[in-house]
Amino acid sequence: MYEIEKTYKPRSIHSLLDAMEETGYDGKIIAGGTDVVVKIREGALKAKALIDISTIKEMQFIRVVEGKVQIGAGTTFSEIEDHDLFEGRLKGLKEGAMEVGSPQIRNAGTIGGNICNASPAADTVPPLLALNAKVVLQSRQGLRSMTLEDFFLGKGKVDLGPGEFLYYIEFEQMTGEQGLGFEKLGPRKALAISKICTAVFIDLDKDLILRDIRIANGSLGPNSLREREVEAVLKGKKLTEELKEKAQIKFKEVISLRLKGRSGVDFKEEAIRGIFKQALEKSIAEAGSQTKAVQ
Amino acid sequence: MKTINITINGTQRKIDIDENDRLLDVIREGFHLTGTKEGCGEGECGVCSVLLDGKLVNACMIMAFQAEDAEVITIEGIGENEKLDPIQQAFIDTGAVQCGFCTPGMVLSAKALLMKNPAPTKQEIRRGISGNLCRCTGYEKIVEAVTLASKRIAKTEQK
Ligand SMILES: Cc1cc2nc3c(=O)[nH]c(=O)nc-3n(C[C@H](O)[C@H](O)[C@H](O)COP(=O)(O)OP(=O)(O)OC[C@H]3O[C@@H](n4cnc5c(N)ncnc54)[C@H](O)[C@@H]3O)c2cc1C
Ligand code: FES
Ligand code: FES
Repeated sequence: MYEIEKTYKPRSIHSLLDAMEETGYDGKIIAGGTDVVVKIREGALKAKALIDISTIKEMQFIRVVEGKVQIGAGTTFSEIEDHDLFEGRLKGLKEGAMEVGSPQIRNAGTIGGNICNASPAADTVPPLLALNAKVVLQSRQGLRSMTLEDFFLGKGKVDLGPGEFLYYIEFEQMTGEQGLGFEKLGPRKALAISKICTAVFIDLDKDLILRDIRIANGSLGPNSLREREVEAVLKGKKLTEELKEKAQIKFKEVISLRLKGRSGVDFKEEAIRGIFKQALEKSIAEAGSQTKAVQ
Repeated sequence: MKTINITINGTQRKIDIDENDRLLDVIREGFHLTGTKEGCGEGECGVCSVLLDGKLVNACMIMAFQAEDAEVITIEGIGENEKLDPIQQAFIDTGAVQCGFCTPGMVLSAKALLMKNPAPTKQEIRRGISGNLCRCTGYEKIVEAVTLASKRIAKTEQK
């Protein structure tokens, strides 16, 4: 029924590159397996060779290097959930990870798998997009880096060349006047794959001017997306209740246009207003002391 | 076919596996440990839960070859010398077992939870067993059982 003939279990990046070469760059990488195994068994994925990366320690880390947070692709959702780094300002990413499936899925599933699977409903992707994360890819030729946004090429597709794998993700550490907010539709329910979620990153100065804002959505396009039109409404402006309202209306318009004719569009465009508002408020609260002045 | 080493319930074993086998297939058909069940086969129900290198995972979502050199603990591997684990005893005492199909997975989820968090709140217990479905009990008794087990374990540790 299935056709896997050869399996590899490299313990280092070096032997991973060897294994990839040995399969003629045709081997399928498997990390936590929570997407791959389902697809193999559904017949949606045919692979003659599987290469397991779940025990490559070199790909499992959460570290800060020269002001940048780096997360190894082999890091599990549980490891993110348990790490102190994601307690304060970066809580939005942890909240994304905690949304995922069940303890069993969070213990096995990796952030690299969540990204490379390129599903529009990947819970850690909107916060990473809002953080303007970069992916760092490795091959025999060395490292290659691009924004996470550019890495996505459509539903189920990422910009990985033959012989290339996702090594780690990195983004700038947040500073005092920045905040990240994450919000998801409805109460958290184990195993219900994310329907709609929104992450908002803001950089707010003392006079409440939005120096920068990045908004990303899940499940409202072929991949998780940045919402640049909504960002444009807010960027460089003074944060007032009126401006928030204006952004919400814009958001609704954007979604309504994008999902035109699809089922559930009425519901989704209404829902997005509320979820966005909550994510925005959370990011403001995280952005620090100015908060009180805003509310 | 290939031969791999797995430490199963404390014993190191060599076993022949097919490249297409899942860890679940090897546990049930290779080691004949049938306490680990197969339900949905796609990560939704948790009846196939085992501890892999100390972490709770679904054995239906992991390929057997991935468990090479790993340590696997199944429901048969908890408790000591024919004595039930306090969690198993608590499940019996509170009536948290009806048809019993979900029980091995539930007990292992509870085990993983209590190893990390010895005194969980009801809410934390619900979150801990959120990857395990039960069609019979309505979960209330199960939450009660885990609470009881956590109290009993704390007591014996005090002594
Ligand atoms: C019951 C269930 C519930 C789920 N719930 C959620 C949920 O709530 N939210 C959510 O976001 N997801 C959910 N998922 C999906 C899945 O768990 C996640 O997408 C997870 O992050 C996948 O990671 P993995 O390590 O298991 O990936 P795998 O299945 O091992 O791999 C996924 C894909 O990524 C590729 N890949 C993995 N790592 C790399 C790498 N380093 N370099 C190159 N390619 C790589 C693989 O080749 C494959 O194409 C659920 C899945 C199940 C079965
Ligand atoms: S059989 Fe593995 S989760 Fe249902
Ligand atoms: S006791 Fe029957 S499924 Fe839980």
